[in-house]
Amino acid sequence: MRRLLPYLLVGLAACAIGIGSHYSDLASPYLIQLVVDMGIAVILASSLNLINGFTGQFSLGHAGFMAVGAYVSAACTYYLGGFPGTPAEGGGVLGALAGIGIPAAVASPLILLVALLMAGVGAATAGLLVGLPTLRLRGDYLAIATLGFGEIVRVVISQVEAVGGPRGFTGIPRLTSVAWVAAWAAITLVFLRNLLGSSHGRAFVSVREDEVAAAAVGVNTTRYKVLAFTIGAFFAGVAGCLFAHYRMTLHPGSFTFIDSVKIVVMVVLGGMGSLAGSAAAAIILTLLLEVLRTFLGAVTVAYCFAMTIAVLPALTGTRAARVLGVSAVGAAGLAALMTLVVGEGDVGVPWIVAAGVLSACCALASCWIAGGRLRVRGAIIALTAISAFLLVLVGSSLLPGPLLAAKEWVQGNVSQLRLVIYAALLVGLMLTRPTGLLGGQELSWRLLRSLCRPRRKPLLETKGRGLAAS
Amino acid sequence: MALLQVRDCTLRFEGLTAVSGFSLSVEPGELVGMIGPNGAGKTTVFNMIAGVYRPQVGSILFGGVSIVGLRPHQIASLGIARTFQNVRLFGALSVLDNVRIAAHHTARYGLLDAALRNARFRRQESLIRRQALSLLRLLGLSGAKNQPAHSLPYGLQRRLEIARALAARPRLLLLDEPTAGMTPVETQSLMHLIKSLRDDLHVTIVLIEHDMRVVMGICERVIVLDHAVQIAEGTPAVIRNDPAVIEAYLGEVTDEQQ
Repeated sequence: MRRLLPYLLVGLAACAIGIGSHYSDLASPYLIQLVVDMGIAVILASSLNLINGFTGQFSLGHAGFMAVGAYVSAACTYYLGGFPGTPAEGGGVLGALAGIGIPAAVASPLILLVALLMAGVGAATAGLLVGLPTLRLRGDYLAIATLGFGEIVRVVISQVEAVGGPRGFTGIPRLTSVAWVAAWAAITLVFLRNLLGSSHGRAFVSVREDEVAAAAVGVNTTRYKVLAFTIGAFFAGVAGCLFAHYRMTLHPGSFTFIDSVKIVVMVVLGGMGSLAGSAAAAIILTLLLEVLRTFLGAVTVAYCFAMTIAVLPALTGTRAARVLGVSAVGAAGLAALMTLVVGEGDVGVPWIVAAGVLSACCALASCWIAGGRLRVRGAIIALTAISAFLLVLVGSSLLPGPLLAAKEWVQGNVSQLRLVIYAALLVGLMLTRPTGLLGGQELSWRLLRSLCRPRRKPLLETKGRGLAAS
Repeated sequence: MALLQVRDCTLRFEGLTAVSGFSLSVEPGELVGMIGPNGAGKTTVFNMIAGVYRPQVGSILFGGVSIVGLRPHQIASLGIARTFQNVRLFGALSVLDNVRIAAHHTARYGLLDAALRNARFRRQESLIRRQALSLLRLLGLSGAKNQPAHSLPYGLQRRLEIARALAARPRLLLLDEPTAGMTPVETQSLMHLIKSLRDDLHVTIVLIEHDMRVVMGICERVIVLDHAVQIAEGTPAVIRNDPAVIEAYLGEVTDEQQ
């Protein structure tokens, strides 16, 4: 049972997404795009965590590896695939396969699979090439070297006319679907988890902990550093291929230094050395950027944050206080998530308000049970937050003039304010949990059970960085 | 045949000669002590044997094979394990994982076996786990197996380092001041333990010690280093009465006065 949890979660997520993609005609292209972005972010963050979090190397070149995979695979499917609208239309691999009686519906996934593996191998080769000369470097120096690599890749690509140069590469066939992305996210997570729970995985972590000691007990530290870069780059390449064949256009500007930093942020926020943390942070950050696009979204996210602060002390209290506290955050999070589906329309607002009120009730109850000083402090924050939330969403007319003007100003400028709010939230998160969401822990039954058991240890122990499910 | 043979090794750092013309021969099953004042070059000798430094002159044979120029992890896989003067554990990892990492080079499965968690992987992993647990029992660390290594008290951290070194299944164990910073009681029990490791596990041991009395109790043979040179070698009784040794330890004051 202990071993099954990660598989169970990954399986459930895959099923949900599979069913979802079956009915994908019903979902808006925007939502599908969002799910695809989330899956790609999960692959990127968890593979970078192998390099940065588990092996303790500092790579800032992950977008570069992604670019290698994206362009290699896109060039192959564009020039050799034989898909409609490409130079090899009617011929190519698709034509050859049709010649031996394989229909396009079967051939396309096969071609994508080959393209994915080529993207992975191409990026892994780049990873190997970067890994070898940079082995002598550590910390900041390694970061600068990998940063340089990423920029070199981007500049070289923008000089190659065959892949569109600086104008971008268009006309790539759309072969990726939600199911493909979900499957590869699952493969990445399961592969990395199994790897990290093995003797090889312990070798990676020993390099992070103490290189001299690792070598003294027989770990070939050079080999494992290069291996971390190679495996990490492989999955970044796969992510690049999925990205290219979903977006159908590539631009060198999509793989800049900033894009690498975004992946690093996910790894750090999720917890260095926690796959579950990386996956969670990748999903949360991708969603967050989208939710913040609308005024409604920005308000609910701020509300969710306020509720988290209100119940945070109660999370070290009794079982009921913890469960209610987590429910409060969950309900507020759900409200934020709902804003994605309803957008700026008014259809969903009553539901969002309901979730918000539910969240406030849970938060109040949680603080009440936790007792003591928490009771007053939590109640004040929760009540202030819910009244502000209700006033802004449904009772604007009750707002005094200056506040109403402020609200309208924010409403009008929310898209410009998006990154400011995002950055402020990141700062807040890192201040409250400096070791990241999950510290170095993995999602385990023990962690889940600790939610429902009388308190002895802190909710998320950050002391011992356990190895994946060891 | 000697298990370890160091012949006329010299190691210089720029102008400083750290070890000069050092020779050492260790027979299988021996428990050899190496003593000397601070800065005499004891740890440097270990670093040379373990492959951290490469001697400019001389040869080092382990089991009759030259190991000069091999990298530390290769030497470790050949069967030389060591501990460090200042404890170097994998602090954030659990006690059990610290020991299991040392079994790394004994694991016979590839990345793919690990990714698929197949029968081969499970068989090898359960073997590694069993061996690690029995080593922890031997060193009295069973109760702490799930704690992060850095949370252990200092004395236990030293013991864990020995357990980790043993997990690499060495034929030769190099212990660098295993009792440094321990209380006299802890020192006594650790020394008995080291002797029993040699007797029960048949591991050949060379140990560096700062405190002469400790070495005298358990080692059959003692080597004394001073200022990069070996100044004496013999049984504890001989060493205790050697004028050169007495001078190295006590005579420095008179040197300066002259």
